[in-house]
Amino acid sequence: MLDSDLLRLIGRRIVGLIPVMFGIAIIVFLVFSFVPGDPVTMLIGKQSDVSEEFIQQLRHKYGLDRPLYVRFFYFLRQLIHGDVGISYQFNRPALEVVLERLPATVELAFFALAVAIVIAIPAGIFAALKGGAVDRGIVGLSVVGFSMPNFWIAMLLILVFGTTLKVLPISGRLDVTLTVERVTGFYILDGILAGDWEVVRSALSHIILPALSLGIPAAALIVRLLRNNLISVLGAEFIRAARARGLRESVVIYKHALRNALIPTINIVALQLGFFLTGSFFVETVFAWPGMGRLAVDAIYARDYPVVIAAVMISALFFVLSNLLADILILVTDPRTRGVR
Amino acid sequence: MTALLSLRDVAKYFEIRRGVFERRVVKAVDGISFDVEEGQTVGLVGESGSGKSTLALTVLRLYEPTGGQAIFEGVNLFELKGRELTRVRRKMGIVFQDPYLSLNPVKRVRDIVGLPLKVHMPKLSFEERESMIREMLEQVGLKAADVEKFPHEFSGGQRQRIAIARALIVKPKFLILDEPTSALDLSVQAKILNLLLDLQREFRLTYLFITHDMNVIKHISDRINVMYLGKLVESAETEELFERPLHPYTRALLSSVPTLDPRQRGRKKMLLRGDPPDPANPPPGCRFSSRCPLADDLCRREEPPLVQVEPGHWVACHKVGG
Amino acid sequence: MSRTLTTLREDLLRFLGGPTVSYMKRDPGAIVGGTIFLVFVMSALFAGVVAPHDPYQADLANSLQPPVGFGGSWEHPLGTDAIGRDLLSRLIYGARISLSVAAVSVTLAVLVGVSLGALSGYFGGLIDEVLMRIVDFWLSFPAVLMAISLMVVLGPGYWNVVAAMTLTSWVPFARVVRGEFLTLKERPFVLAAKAIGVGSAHIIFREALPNTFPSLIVLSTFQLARNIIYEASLSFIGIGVKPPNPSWGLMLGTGRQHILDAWWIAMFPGLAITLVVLGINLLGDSLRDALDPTIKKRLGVVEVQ
Repeated sequence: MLDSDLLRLIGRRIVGLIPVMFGIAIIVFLVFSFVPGDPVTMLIGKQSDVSEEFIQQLRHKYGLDRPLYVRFFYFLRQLIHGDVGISYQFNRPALEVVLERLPATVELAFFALAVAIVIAIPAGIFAALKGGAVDRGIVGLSVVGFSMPNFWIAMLLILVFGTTLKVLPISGRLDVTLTVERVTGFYILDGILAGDWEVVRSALSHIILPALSLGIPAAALIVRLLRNNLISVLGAEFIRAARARGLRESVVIYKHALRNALIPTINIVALQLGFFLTGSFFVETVFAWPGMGRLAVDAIYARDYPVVIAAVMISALFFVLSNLLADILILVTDPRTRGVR
Repeated sequence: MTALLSLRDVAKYFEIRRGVFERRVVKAVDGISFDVEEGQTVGLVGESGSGKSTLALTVLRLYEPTGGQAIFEGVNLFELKGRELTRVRRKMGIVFQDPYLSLNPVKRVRDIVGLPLKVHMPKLSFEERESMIREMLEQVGLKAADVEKFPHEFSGGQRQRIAIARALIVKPKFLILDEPTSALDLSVQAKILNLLLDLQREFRLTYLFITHDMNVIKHISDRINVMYLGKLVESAETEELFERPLHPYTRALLSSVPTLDPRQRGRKKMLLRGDPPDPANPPPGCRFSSRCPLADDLCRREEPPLVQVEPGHWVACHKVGG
Repeated sequence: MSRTLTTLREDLLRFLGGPTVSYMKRDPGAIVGGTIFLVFVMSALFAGVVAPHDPYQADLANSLQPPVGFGGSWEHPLGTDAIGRDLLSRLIYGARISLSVAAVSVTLAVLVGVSLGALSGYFGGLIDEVLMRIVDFWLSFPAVLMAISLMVVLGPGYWNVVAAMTLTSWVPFARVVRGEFLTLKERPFVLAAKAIGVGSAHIIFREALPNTFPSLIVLSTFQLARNIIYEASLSFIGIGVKPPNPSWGLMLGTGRQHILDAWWIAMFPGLAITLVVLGINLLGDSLRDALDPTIKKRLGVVEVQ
């Protein structure tokens, strides 16, 4: 499917990301330039025996005595080198700290996506085909699904599966007694690589509830979309033609209708990946999931702004990339868009 | 007779941008000149895309003209600004083709028909305005009580009557009718045409009647101008044009009309081949040359000027007269 | 100007009246949604009358009381929190914060978004270029993240949340209004008004704007729901409304620490958010279905089966 036209389009979209990322950098910089209290004050904290001279030295070291545009220039130059400053909490480059936590968040996002797809696709098909009360019930549930804040779903799940049924762990990524050699940072993958099935089992049981918390609202959205698409496709001319040709109903539905209904759905599914990154800010907080979102929220409390900046930039990048992925999937899957643009 | 409106070299070009660098100019109206005599109905015919509606909108300054003059009662409309332009607008009106699109769906008939009064006679009291609106509605064949209704409560023909009422309520001299009947059912078309003729007599109106329908134009107009791709190709009195069409395009338009006239039966049918070319990329020379059965090298090279071949009969064709 | 406002209000009410109401009366979703929404609005308006206790009054002797049916008493039907404040009363007062933050921010977002969208769609040119770049950028930046960043800068507080919500929700309005104006300004009824000699202000406010009301009404309801969730999310991670205000998000945030010993502290505020958002979403769905055919019929578009 990948022809040169398509590659060129994808290339153009990627080039188009450069100004967007630049814009994000400007906003992030401006936003955090106006944060009350500069990092040096934060760094020194409550220590009162620090001399004024030392403070000035530190300010100079971090370039805080320069005018805004100079600092922006430095900020950009640092950004190109992947440097957004030193974390005051960890005393290490902020980006390094954030990237270390990224695999946990990405792992969670992918499982949430899997949850969303596993729930949404059968439910959407079922609603569209059965109609009547089943359809109304599923549509009703889906409205409820995306009316719930994900962090509240998280707490509901903890109550039901964690504290009442006591069948699933409610915090962290792994039993505290277990360790795994960090290769990819995705514990499930690392467990498989190490051949340690105990780790895989534990990691899987830990990820179920957080993945459900993120996945349920997404599933609710996808169900509705898929159902609506499927219903309109089933009424379309070519489906009637396929039926008239005497094709078996299952062939008509799964081969013809579903394929055409799924194409516009794929776009929304891919977009969810980006939303999971921001949703992780809340869900990870509930489950003490040691990912980027929880790190960022903790950094906000600790006023560790370089970490917040790094987390915001990485989330934005993921959001932009999931948009790109959604666009590419549409281009690849939908022959109608070829050659039009 | 004096001309109420004289168009001189009126031009309207559109710039179309494709991407960042590619720019093309579409000469939608390209140097049109003709007169509209007071009290007459002047027809303007051509296929869709010939620029007739663009010309109408340009004359009314709804599009900014690219060039030329439109002299209305001795004043060049294209030079007017602000208040002066608003004052002249009171003497002119327009009725659009599709009455489903030309009436604001969220407004009551009172507000639609009363708008010109609010603009041009702002000192009227509510009662005076109301009685004028009701009277006008009755004059176009609607009921006075219809002021309360919304456009969607009316049929297509009734909506067109509302549009006519709106155009006439401030008693203008001149009305542009832009295909006022072509969106309507055949049975309704005749009623609206008759209403327009009655109103013309009653209000001493001058019409510029735009259409692609040769039957309608024959029925209603005194003089006919034929447009093709932004250019005037032929202009004559109605009878003269139907008797002696000179331009191959006019002849093609006329032969597409079914006729009962025995004198015309014997005439060879001339049919248009293909669609009109892209207005952004017209053929060189005569713009009709790509579809003209008579076209030769000269036609494809040089644009024919509009010349008077008989008193009052103008035509732009290398193959005619000369 | 006041005459313009009066007619605009009439135009707005026209869309919300007659056929829209009679459609929604037959839609169970609208009835359920409307009832839920009304209950919340009423308790927010009359919190002082409805709430059994002072929502700020700590009573350490009665801390962590469970709700009725789980060992609690009718004195505190939904139980109490860690410092003995009555949960039901806090929920009722919380409705004020939740609904007012969302309503004020959506109103401001409508004003900003509609003005910019209308100017940009009607006049085009430089304003339009600039606005479209901003919109492109906004869409590539997740709104929650934008809100979080803004709140980090502004610091917690009621009006800061309103500001952050407004800044993150005006773009959809601007986009919709711009899009509709682009087509509306070419509509013959706008040309007809111009031919009569009206000015730009009349065309924007009297002719074009009322035609965007159906989309604006529907979009506003969904943005309202969204902003309720956003406010709760921000307060939940401690950068929204300041304690001791009874914001539902804030209550959830403290409830999280008691999830193992006092589940009700987190459960009821979450239920409140879900219910009110559900109510608004149901209303929005119904409004969309109700207004859609209306506007189609009014524009004279006949749907081809």
